[in-house]
Amino acid sequence: MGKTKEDILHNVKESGVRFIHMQFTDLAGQLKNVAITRDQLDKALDGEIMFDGSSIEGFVRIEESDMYLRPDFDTFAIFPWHPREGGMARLMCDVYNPDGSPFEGCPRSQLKRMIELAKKDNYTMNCGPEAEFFMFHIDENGAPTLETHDQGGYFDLAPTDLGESARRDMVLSLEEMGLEIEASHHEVAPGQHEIDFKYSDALHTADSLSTFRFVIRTIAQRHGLYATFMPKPIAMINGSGMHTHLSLFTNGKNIFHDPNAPEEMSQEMLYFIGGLLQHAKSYTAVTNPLVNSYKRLVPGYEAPVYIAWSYRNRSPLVRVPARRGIGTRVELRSPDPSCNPYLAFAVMLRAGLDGIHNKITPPDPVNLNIYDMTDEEKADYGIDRLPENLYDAVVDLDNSPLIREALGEHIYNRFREGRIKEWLEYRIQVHDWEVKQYLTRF
Amino acid sequence: MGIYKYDYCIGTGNAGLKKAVAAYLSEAGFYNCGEGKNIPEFLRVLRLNQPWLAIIDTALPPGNIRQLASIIEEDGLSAALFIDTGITNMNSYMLLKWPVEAQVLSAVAETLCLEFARKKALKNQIRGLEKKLINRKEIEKAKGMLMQNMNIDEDRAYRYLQTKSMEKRITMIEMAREVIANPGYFYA
Repeated sequence: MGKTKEDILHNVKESGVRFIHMQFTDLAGQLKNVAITRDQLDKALDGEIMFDGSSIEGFVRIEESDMYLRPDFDTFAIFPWHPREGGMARLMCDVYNPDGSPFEGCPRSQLKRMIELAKKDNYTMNCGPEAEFFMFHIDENGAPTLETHDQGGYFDLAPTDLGESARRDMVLSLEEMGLEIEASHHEVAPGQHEIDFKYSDALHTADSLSTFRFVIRTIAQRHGLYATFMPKPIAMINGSGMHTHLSLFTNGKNIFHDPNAPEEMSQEMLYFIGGLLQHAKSYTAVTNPLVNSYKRLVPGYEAPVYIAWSYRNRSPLVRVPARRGIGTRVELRSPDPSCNPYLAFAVMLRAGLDGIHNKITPPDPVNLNIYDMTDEEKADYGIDRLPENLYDAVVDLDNSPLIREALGEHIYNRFREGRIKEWLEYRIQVHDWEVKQYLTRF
Repeated sequence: MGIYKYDYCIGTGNAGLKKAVAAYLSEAGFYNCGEGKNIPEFLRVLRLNQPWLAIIDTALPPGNIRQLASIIEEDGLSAALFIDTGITNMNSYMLLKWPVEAQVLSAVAETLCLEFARKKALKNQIRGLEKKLINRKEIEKAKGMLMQNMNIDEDRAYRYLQTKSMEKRITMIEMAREVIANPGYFYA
């Protein structure tokens, strides 16, 4: 931490890096970059690289298109797969207006604003995401298929498992880039994998996640595979989630842990859970931003549907893992890996903080399987459900001044516009299911 | 039939080429352990079977053979021999124009395999040296910290690390890392 301009210039020279990707994300969380040569690096490190913001979805209109990239020196990392043709490195950047003020549509800057808000109470939020993804085969035309690498007997006699080997390379590459990986394993569905990050502060983790998706796709391609973070690529099979472990620290101490409280959970932790539950409907559009996200949030596939919390049971939205001490945390189970991590962490933090500020006591934990409850039982426990589709989620977002404030007015407006456009496009399609169901019957 | 010395995977959609290569190379002690009819499939086959040699038809779809070549080289997957059934420029990669004499093919294939083995050994050696260098740096750093804070000379700092590591039954480098991470604990 605390890299200087000189450190980076020296590092680039020593390691033979020739190209540097100045990276940032659009509102949908897609990684964008302006690639510069080594000769331009000095200028770039001074924040003088300009780009046309009107070409980025959700940024600005054409008449206000000049934007500047200010790199965060600590995010400098060299990509491990370009050793010969001159190496490549990346720097994560904040987007600035020509007048030197942070651009209000920059997701990274918006997360920083929420982090600053938490700092006023001396809180730092740590996040540990568990990102799941599928790896599918690429066909002879280079197009992705839905065929998974570990289906059927094709590879039975092979000495190594293709997915394992790709995942090992992914972990090694991520570690070479300075990301700390806690675990990696095969997931429930065929071809599905999970790589878990060691928890870190929200900004650092969001940077890591942005790079992560890019690295995973690149390495998969080098293995003849296609990696996707689409939340539900195949119906009736578990989708890909991004369970996110959250904790609040003050002066290096996890304030969620109170050895003298019931279950060793501090009052702040309970209020934080209260906030996460109370605002769940409103932030779901952000943590689950695709039409497809809502195909994952259905009963039966370990994804949450109901707004409740529990200690052991994995069906509710929030789970409290058994670990105590410095590892005391809440696990928010609804987000999926298609979200913009900067915005997702910003709304999670805002919702949790509101719980603390307004002393929102959560309802009692539900340690029963909610999917087995009748509607009456759910009503007795006061259990509401998450939005069932993207449109409902956007309406819930519209109704929440708090989550809109967490996004900032500019991002909220553009984000909403993009999500509604996607919903309307989806709504006018005729799906295969409809054709199969109705064509011959009516 | 003699004992196979090397195995290879072939990337081609051309059955004639595959058959001819198999016939030529089998005589020279090569065994075909896999094939791919397009680049993604061929990459999967290579990663799974980890052969000595990859033999690649430059007409392998969907194209971009040079990218395939650099992936094979950068990731150290195998030796690579490109067979040109059309007109391709492969820069510095080994390219033979088809048809090729059996003896030439097997001689080139064997040379590439030996070269690959040498490269692999060198790479491992470099990796080992790099690791040693990093370890040495950390040991030096720990030694420096001990010298300065305990006011002892280099020899005694080294002995201190050595004794402590033996007491704790850990390696010198692990001991050095402990000193760097918790200096106060050791100076006391």
